[in-house]
Amino acid sequence: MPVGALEKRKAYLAMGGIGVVCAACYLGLSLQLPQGRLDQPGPGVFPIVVGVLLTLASLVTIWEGWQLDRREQIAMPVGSDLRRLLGLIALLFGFLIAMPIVGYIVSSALFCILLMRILSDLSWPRVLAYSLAMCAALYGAFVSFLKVPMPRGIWDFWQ
Amino acid sequence: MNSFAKSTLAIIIAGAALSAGVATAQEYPSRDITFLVPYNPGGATDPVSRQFASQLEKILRVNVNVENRPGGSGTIGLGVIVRSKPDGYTIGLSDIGALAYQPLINSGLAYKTPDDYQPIVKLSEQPIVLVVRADARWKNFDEFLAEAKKNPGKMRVGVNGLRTAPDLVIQQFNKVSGTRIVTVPFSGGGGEATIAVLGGRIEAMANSGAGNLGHVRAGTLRALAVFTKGKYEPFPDATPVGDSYDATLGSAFYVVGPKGMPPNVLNKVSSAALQVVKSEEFLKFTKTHVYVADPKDSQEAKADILQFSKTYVDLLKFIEQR
Amino acid sequence: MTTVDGILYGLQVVFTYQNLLAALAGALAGTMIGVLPGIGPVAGIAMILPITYSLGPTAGIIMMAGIFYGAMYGGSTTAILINMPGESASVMTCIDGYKLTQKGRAGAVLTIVALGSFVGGTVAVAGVMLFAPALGQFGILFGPAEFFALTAGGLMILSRISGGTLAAGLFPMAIGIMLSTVGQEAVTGYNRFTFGFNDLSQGIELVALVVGLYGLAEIMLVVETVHRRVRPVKVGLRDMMPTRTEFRRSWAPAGRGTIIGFIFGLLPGPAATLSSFASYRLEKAVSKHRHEIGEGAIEGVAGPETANNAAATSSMVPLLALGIPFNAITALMLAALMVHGIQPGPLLIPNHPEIFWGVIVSMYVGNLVLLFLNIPLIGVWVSMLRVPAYIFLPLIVVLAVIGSYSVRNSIFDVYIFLLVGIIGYVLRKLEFQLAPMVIGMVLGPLIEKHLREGLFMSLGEVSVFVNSPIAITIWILVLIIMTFGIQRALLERLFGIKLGKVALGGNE
Repeated sequence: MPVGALEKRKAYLAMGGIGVVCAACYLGLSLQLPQGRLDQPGPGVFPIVVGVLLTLASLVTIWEGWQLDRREQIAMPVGSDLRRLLGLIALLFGFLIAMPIVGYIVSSALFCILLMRILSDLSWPRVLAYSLAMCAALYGAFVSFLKVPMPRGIWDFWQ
Repeated sequence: MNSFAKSTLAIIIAGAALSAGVATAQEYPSRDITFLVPYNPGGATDPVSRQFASQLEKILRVNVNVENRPGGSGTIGLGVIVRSKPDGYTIGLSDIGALAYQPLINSGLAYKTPDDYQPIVKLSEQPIVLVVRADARWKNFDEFLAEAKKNPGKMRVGVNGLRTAPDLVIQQFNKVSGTRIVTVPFSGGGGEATIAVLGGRIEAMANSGAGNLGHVRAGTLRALAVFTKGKYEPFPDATPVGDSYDATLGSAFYVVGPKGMPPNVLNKVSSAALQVVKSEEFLKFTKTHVYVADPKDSQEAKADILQFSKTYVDLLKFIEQR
Repeated sequence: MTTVDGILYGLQVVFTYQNLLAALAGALAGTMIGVLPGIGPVAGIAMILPITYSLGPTAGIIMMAGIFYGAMYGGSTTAILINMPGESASVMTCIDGYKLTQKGRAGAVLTIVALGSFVGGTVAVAGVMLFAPALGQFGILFGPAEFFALTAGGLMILSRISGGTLAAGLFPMAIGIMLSTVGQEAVTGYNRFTFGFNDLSQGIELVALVVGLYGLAEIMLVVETVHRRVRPVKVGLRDMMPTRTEFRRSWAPAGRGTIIGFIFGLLPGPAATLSSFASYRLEKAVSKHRHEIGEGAIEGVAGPETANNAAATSSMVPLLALGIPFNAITALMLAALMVHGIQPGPLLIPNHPEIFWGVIVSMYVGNLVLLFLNIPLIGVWVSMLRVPAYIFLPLIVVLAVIGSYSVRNSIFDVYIFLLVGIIGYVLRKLEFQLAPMVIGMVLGPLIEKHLREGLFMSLGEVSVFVNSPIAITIWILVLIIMTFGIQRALLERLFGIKLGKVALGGNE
């Protein structure tokens, strides 16, 4: 069972570091917002409070990371697990980028077919049959019946 | 991809190309029209949109599907309309705030002036009504105004967010009458300002009349004034402010489409739309739902929007000076 | 009209062909909407709003109410089974519900939830029926100062809601509040952190965030380990029934949940969601088994799930008694009434008794139907766990995408769903808590709004926030709850009292 590992301490420190950078950028932007007066507090007041909170939270994260035992590990996927995970993410990006262009029907069908293929050893005809049946059912329920206006993309001219 | 998938795709593409050819050859409208509403379902604009859509359906003899695209004070949905293909199959509702006010304060929009979109028809207006608690010490608007003049910056009027229609008309009133009535935003929907008035936390509230009609009729709230010229039928006891001051900004609703629609399409849809807003059925609807009917064709609607725009520019200068 | 007359009248109203059908269809549709991840009651009601326009006003409201409380029954199903909340009111249920599923108690938990929802719903209807006009006035007592105390105090109390280290709760919460400030803010309509993208001005949608954070992150974890997963064993009828201990441990949290939910429902804001947070936090403070909560304790499910049902029901009070909608769902109901030319307001109950009593009686009927509908369905839901992953996962992902999209018909929300899913995956790997992020996202905008609107209202007097007796009471309660651990330790040290023994909820 191939399982990779990452030192939890490093991950915490990295997370806290990202948090501090985020908070700094966020605070910088917040200071440019109108602050208003006490009787007319502007949109910039609350973000400053939030920015300070995020800075504190990030510092606490770094502090806790610092205290962590170096032996504590986080299980990370490697090998085929990692490939499947990255496959899912890539497919999702593809699905969502394609949806406004080629429309919901085509993109969701392709997504189902490919994801099912990644997740199983089924033959192509069965994958196609299952996916298309599933997508047709979802389309019927949500788009035809409940009239959720999913993007039609290039099929816009079509009924 | 194996040969099966390839051939499936080929068939789909071929079929699509075929039906595209058929679609353009037919006369407008040959398929469903999408009517975008830039607010939440259940918002003040929803009933009027659905009424308009259902009547338009009967005239154009195709389905007119109402779609809600809320967010950004109505600018998100209007942006979708502006950017859509000008084929007459995507039109939608917009209100004067999103059309004329937002471009003044928001530079990232897809439109700036009425030249960037196509006004089709003006649907209706909704005046702003000023209400107080039924047991308030001001019996009429004059008493309220007298106290406001005596205590500048102390009388508080609840509105549903700053720079919304109720806030703007109060600011307009401040400008022309030289008073300083304070507006307090209650952005969680009209209900919060109502409970603040009922609970005695603020002196009054201003909003479109529909939200408070139930309370006024029940005698828990009293309508002091309405920002119109002449009486406003649903609130016969409210003083029409417009008769003595030039403060009559309210909400106004229009149907718009993307610019560059072919003349035959534009003619067909705008004449059908005008027919709807001038119909008995639509006038009856506006009356029961506390709108004021104001049918205007696309040219008049455009002039109307430009007029609002000018008022807003002056008003913004006034607000920023303070 | 006395209560008895009212009920008899309501029975006449409900037991007509159309209204009964509306109640049943609404309850059924609500359950389905709740079960489907990402499609919450707001989106669901919005989808069927055009259908209700064609019904009469009474049937329309009955149907919409049915969807609302039906969704509260169904919303916990996916939360418990696959750690994916159907809507934000079920976020708290994920924590203990999913852990119990992993221990093989899924059927029992779902039974407890169905019973708890029934109790919460029915008791709350009785409350609405008896006290509606009087309770309508309760919301009027709350203004910006009181709400600021409730939300800001709530955030402090809830920051450590699900255990773990300080950073594990605080960091995600800060991220959640930060995300909530993106977009056009409500008070003055200013665009913040949009970087010139108009799409960002609509802000980050809560449903997309919840579904991405929990649902997509969970899917990613499942995909990663799909070949090593043990198929859940077939659950027999005996495992479907809660044990006597589970029953005994559930009734006190359910009782407290009903009260909390009922009160929250009378106040403006996302009542069902807030009441489930509050109930979970209360159980963590007062339950006898509080140390188990977070590790798979039935209390952590029974409380919040009862609370959100009670809140859904009692939020009808401000709508019916005052004509003021306090949340998105009752706002939709108000719109449906106005379409039919009915003016909601204090005169609604006297002028339209058929609506008030019809809705009340339909809620009794609907809750009963839902109970008998949901118990047999539990077997079906649990057996869904045995559907092969290659069918189940694509189905859930596409559903979640439709769900995220359908709230505002916005492709932007679907991108948010994907991004937040990846963030959720990373946070899960680091053993950060996800619930505080949702809490930050829900409470952040409310805190800001009430803080600023309070200052606007008081013309800049800061003292407004501590001038009202209700606000002061809330702050004192917050202080007491936050220092609960210290008080307990102090009492034990000084007097040797073991507080655990006298905690609410019966004997050990």
